Amino acid sequence: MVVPIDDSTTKKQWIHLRRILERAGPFKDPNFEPSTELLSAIESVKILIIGAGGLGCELLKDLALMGFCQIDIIDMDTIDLANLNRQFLFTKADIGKSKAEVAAKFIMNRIPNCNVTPHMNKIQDFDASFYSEFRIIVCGLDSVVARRWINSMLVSMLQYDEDNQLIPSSIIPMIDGGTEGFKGNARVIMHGFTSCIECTLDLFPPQVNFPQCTIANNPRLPEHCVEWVTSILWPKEKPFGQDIKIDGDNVEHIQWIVEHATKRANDHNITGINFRFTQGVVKRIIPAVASTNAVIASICATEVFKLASSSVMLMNNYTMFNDIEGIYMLTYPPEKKEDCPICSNVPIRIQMSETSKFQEFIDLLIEKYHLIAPLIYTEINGNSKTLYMTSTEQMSEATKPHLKMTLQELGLTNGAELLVGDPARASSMRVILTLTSSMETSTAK
Amino acid sequence: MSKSSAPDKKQIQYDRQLRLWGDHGQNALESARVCLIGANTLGTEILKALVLPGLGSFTIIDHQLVTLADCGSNFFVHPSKIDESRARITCEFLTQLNPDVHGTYIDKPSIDDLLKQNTFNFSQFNIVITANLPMQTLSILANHLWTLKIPLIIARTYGFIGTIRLQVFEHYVIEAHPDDTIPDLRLDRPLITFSNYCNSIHFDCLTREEHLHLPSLVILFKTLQQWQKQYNRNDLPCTRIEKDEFKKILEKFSHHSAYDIHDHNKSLENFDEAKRTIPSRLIKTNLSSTIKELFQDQSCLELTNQTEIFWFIIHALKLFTENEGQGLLPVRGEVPDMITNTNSYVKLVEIYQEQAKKDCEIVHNYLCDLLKKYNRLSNHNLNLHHLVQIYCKNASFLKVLRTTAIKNEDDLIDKTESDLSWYIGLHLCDIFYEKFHRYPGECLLDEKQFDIDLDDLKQISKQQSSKNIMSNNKQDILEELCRYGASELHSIAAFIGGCCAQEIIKLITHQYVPVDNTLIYNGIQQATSVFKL
Repeated sequence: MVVPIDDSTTKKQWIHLRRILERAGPFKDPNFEPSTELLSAIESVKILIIGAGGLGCELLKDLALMGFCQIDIIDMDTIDLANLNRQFLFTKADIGKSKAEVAAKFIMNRIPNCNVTPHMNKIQDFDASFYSEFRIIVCGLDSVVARRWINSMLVSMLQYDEDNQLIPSSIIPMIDGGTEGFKGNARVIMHGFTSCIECTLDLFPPQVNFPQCTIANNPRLPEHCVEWVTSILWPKEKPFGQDIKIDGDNVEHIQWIVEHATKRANDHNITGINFRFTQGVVKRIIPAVASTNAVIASICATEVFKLASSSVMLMNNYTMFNDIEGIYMLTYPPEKKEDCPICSNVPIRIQMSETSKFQEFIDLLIEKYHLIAPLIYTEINGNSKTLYMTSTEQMSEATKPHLKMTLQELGLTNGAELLVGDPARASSMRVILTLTSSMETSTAK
Repeated sequence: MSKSSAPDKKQIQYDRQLRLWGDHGQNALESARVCLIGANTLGTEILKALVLPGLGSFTIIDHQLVTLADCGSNFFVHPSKIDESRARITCEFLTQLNPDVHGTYIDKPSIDDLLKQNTFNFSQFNIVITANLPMQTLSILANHLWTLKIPLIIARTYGFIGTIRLQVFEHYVIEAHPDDTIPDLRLDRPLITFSNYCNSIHFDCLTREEHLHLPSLVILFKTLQQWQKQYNRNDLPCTRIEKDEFKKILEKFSHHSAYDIHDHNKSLENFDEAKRTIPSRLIKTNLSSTIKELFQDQSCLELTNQTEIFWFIIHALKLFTENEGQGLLPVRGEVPDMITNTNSYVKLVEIYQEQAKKDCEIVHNYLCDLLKKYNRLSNHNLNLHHLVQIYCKNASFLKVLRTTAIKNEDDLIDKTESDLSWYIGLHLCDIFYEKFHRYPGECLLDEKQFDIDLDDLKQISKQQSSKNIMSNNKQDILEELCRYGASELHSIAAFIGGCCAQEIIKLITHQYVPVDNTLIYNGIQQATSVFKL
């Protein structure tokens, strides 16, 4: 154990942390070395927080008060009134301003030695050279797609040695938190060792979707009536103009939807439609409170502190929290998928008959790898060829004919390598195609 | 407010939480007053998560001045405010989070002197919160609040460990909002109107279209009726064989003369749904254990003029159950969505809602009679209908929470459950504090002192314990606690702060179920345990 001598102001201020950093204990991480230098080490570690909303504000405060002084924060959003019940770094006067910028300003004001660099950006605006600057990345995102994107970005930055073994120093730990009402979860991801976001996609709640025939012909619940207005009536009547899409924050839009959903409901003896309900369905609003965000962010911050200091063992490695009935928390390590398309470093091979239609291939890819809007290209005879792309009308039209063609007709041969991009991925997926002749059974691997 | 009128500013601001506890919950929160003793990191983190959602008002009691060390842990101070009143500064910064909240503070006398003087009116508060309050002061306060029947939440953080203890004389959980409930459909004790409706449907008279849209609930009931007739039973199939018999009948009903070979592979969604929902629909309807306990509670059985309205309603529910309910609670009235056409679904909803309304009316009448009998009927009857509605809908999940008063927890000393050992360890640190007026390991600058403190702590443990040998686990815990030296780590305080705030909101709104009664948080493993002490 080390005896500290220095009693400068900083040292006095951080006494609570120093007791932990300058003394060992039975529950420390095996790598821990108590030291008076650890505090400065923590102060200079570069941390990235993704999201400056409900979790982001809490994370920023927590990390600043756990000694971290070099924090970057990314958020592309501006501040709304409905944020203020939990995003406490913002006031009514800040409505309309950048979340990242206002959050940074507040923290630097309140905790003067903390340096926060805001980025009003999408995560996709940055590449590996940006992300590689950080020692630890903490996410307080509200979308699964964004999580998958950053997850794949960090995996793409992993390095392997000549024996194809993962080089541990190339891992950037990713700490991810999510909340929904009174439930939340937090996890520590060390790509290559623990499960990653992609390994555990089934842990995320499925998207709420209503069957079309229910919406069109057999509405039973008030939400069916709202969906009917948004998906059928609005496109038909275009009430606010030719190309005006529904804006869930526009009061007039919602009022129009309420009016027409109520009519439909009344015609079917369904009750329960009002403004709050309707806006909830249109925006797929998830309830949120300050307390759950505080809890989940705190777990993430504690783990960041442990990672940066080794002062105490890390949690292992996924926590679920729920305080609806009493307070319940369960921590366990979800299984890392041996064939995870992102973190397993195993090439993806798909076997199909050469007479299979390209559409079949796409459907298989989408289902198996949970793709959203794939972009598929390859090299044929030395030329790059885009096989499938839906991001613009033009490209959609241009690649549409490919869908009905067979893989053979497209010019694909056995062993062909396709590159598949997707909004849920930071880099393209390599897919190696095994083509079987029409004689063999067409089974997909 | 008309159906489509836009929400006002406050409804927008609180929208995300109104979806969790409703306008009535929000009103309760906005009328509530809490008292926080200890404007340290933990205390302010608790208040933060109450101020943001719009708590009515708070009063901070803290006589300390802001220190430099506070600035390395507490979000609601600032280096420029060192040596100023911590109560005043934190009060200011907290109210900045939400100007609708009214905050006051008392920075003299100290809580110790306030308790000695015994003139401070704690009854003005719905709840009192203590954050890392030393044991001696806490005992006096807890005793006082127990006598006044004011709920007390005792919060603590200590290095990576946190604890919450509720001391509540009596709290009613009215809207539990359980996560997973079995719907109250009563196929084994069918509503008469539901039976009649089902009896008006004959499988052989249905058109193909009607057959495809028959609600799964009706399908299940008719199958049940057939099974009961066929096997001369009046209850539910329970053995494997009986369930197979049931499924065979269901399968038979799924055929329709108008279906041809092409339909053979077509999945009949409503019949599939019927099969899938067997586990949750073919369930014996009975009284929940919680409501049975309430019916037998002294407070329900012995109503007086002073009894809380909660017990009057429980008693009214009891009377209903014993009479019109024929052993069952009022029908909840909710019908889960199912694959069917609009008219059939609406008809089912009507049937169950009508019955729920009728049952509710009967309970309401019993309630009025009881209130009249005990001279409790007054001018606030206007809300009784609505209140009875809420109780009827949530009847299965109504609960009363009564904790013990905190007492000398020395008798826990030899318990071996891991997380309880941390709680006991903290108690030993408290004894150390009483003896030496500081916590073990608090002083960072002296290595020798650490070893002496640890020895003293172990001595205290041995003195309290009946065992001769201290387990390795216990030794480790004491050493780790010494390492912490009562450090307030911000992230741990944030965890306990968030949890505490939500427990307080549960108590104020009577929604959701509070912890009964002690939570121990282990930030090393990220685990919680709950103990009923």
